[in-house]
Amino acid sequence: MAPSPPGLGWGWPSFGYHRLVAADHSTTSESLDAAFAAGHADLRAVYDAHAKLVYNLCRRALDPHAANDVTQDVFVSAWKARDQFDPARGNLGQWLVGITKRRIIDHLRSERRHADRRADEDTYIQADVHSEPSVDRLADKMLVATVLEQLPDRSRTVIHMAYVDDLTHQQIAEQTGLPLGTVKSDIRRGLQRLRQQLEVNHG
Amino acid sequence: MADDPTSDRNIERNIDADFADIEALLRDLDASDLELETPPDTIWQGIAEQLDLDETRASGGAPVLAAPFGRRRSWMVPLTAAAAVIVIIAVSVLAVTGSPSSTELASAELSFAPGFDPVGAEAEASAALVDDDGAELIRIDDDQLPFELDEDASLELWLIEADADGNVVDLVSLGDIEADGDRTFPVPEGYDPAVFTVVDISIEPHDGDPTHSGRSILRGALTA
Repeated sequence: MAPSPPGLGWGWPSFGYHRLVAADHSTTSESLDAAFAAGHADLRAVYDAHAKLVYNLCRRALDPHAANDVTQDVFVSAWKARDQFDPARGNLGQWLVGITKRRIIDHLRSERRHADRRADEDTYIQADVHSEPSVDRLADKMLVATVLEQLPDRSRTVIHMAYVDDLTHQQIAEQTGLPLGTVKSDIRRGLQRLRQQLEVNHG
Repeated sequence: MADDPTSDRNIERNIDADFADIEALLRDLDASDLELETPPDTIWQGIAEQLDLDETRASGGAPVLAAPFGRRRSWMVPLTAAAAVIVIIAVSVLAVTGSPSSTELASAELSFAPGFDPVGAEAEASAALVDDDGAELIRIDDDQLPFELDEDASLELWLIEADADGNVVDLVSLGDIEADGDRTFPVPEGYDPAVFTVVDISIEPHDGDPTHSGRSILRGALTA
């Protein structure tokens, strides 16, 4: 018997739902993908795992209000169309990104049609900023950025220094105080992890 | 793969050969691409509300909260309009029913819903409110509950109060449901089952935290 005090003070532990998530992120995504494919998915767990990816992609292509609407729409559509998700053709994050890209493009096109009708030059230009290839590129960036964010700290730091800050391995070793060999193997492990998470399995 | 794959030169070469595509993606990133924002909570609320409505239409008004228990905020997701109506009916029926010994006053089919712990998808149970010679009990009739799921967790039974708009106001634990234990649970004093009409079963880890874990597996509203 574990009574909750009526009326007050029964806040959820802040990690509430995350108790379901195992420490190893790659295992978690795979089992989440499998559960989703099998129709046993837990939408909250799917949302917790992928909302940041979908939202940040929307946020970079759309205004804040539209970004909220499209993010919501993506998860509602994904839930309704969950029997169409095929893990053999890519992971859940990639599937959601596919839906997100289509929704963003639809949204931009409808804004553009609207702008055409009103012959409003300013809105026209704004709505035209993100052409389809640029949405693809944004999507790639957000996929990489969200996977990178989940890497262990040291691995994320050295990858960031090597590719975003464009430092040599030697410079990274000097700045971090890590042995050169460690820098190299951290980078390699980080790249392997990224590959694992980003790979589309065509099998 | 070269003879000594751990030598620096070979590591560099392998990185070039194996990871050219990943490296190109990484080089395309600016520092600003890595400043990821957390989505506002209103987005999840919108999703839960939208699916709640749709599920009601599809299933003919199953009396469950389709929204998950994941966070405190999700308590605020409204019950469906249908469930609210059923609650009102349940309340009126309870008000007029006499109490001969051991009478079933109301019952609830307990259902799994999106956002619940996935384990609940396989679970099957119903609940009944029984008047046993003046004492009110909740009886659980289970066909399948995941007792063997985890040694460090129990299944716990809850009653939930929702307001007229379906917002969850309060909840109370009725205790653990055990595989070979009694299936009747006295309604705690001060908790009127005409008010606490929603029956919920959750998975509770043995972590010393007596509050609801957020891991509901089944839920349903008592109806006459």
